[in-house]
Amino acid sequence: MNTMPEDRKVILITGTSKGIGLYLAQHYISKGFQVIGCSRNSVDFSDSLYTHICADISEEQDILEIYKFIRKDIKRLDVLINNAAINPAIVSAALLPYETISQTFRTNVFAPMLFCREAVKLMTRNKFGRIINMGSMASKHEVPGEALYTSTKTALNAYSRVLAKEVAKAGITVNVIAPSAIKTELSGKINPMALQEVLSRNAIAEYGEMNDVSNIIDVLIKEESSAITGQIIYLGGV
Amino acid sequence: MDVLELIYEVIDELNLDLGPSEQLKKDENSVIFGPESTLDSMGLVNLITLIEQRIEEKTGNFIAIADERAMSMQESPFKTVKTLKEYIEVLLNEYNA
Ligand SMILES: NC(=O)c1ccc[n+]([C@@H]2O[C@H](COP(=O)([O-])OP(=O)(O)OC[C@H]3O[C@@H](n4cnc5c(N)ncnc54)[C@H](OP(=O)(O)O)[C@@H]3O)[C@@H](O)[C@H]2O)c1
Repeated sequence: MNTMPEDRKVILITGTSKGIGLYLAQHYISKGFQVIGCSRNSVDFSDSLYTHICADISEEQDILEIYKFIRKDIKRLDVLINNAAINPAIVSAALLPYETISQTFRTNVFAPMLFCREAVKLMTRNKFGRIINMGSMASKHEVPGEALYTSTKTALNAYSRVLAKEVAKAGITVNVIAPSAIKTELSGKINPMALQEVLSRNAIAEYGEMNDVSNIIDVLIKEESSAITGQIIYLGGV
Repeated sequence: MDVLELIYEVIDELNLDLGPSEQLKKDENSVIFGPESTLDSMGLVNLITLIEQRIEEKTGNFIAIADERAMSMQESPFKTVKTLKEYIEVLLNEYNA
């Protein structure tokens, strides 16, 4: 039986096994949210406020199962953070294999679209919802070797801005948070010299911190932030 | 399952939130999408979502109404209550087959 108090907000975060997603899951547990996380791997912590679902979000069926669980057992969704993404190949666009392109788009673009689609259906019930999609400074800097990752993040920007217009009347906001660079496995794949060069183009030419991300999300998901929507917020002075 | 009855139940629920000029009539010919409809696009999302929920509650099965076939049909099933009812009946029959 679900013993969740009526007023406890429910937040769904994708990609919680490591990196920013893991940090955000623990951050929102500590703030008293009911957190549902997912990733292909499991997590090595447990908490009464946390439910982990092992899922491959590049498969529609896995996403539908997550929502089936939420509809049946949790019955509400207040916040969705589309955090999971991959950046598997930092190579010339001329060398990108089709399967790599396909898998990256399925994970970074199709999955967030499906998560948004199902979230909107649940959120309209309560006439409240906050959707955060994770962008990247890559969309602004357009770095050679990052054509695939950059185009997925830019697609998500455009999608988020249109969705924001469609769902505003339902009390749902949609925003993109685009961190500069934060030390995780994903950013660790980028050549440090190249990353330093890209960072030097920002007002803040250093790595960001995890709490830079949670700080802005904390603001955006507040009930009072109902007028902030359709924004792409770059961190680090991009 | 009486699909028309189910759609009418959902229309009743939707109308609770709609203003007097936006009320959707419980009539097979009520237009549910497009310029002639009193529902806006989020209204249609609500209608479809509530129907999907009711079907899931009644049957335990989630059936996506806005599926690929619906999107590619020449005559959209999301035109009137009647076309929607007929499309849902097709989906239910296929699911049960
Ligand atoms: N770190 C940065 O510098 C930076 C900068 C700008 C933007 N971002 C964005 O921030 C977000 C998080 O990045 P991060 O650095 O924390 O990455 P990360 O450390 O590589 O973590 C990515 C997470 O996504 C999950 N994931 C990947 N593919 C998945 C799939 N098919 N199904 C389910 N889960 C999947 C991973 O879990 P499993 O492997 O267990 O599935 C993992 O939990 C991404 O959207 C990224 O683009 C990061």
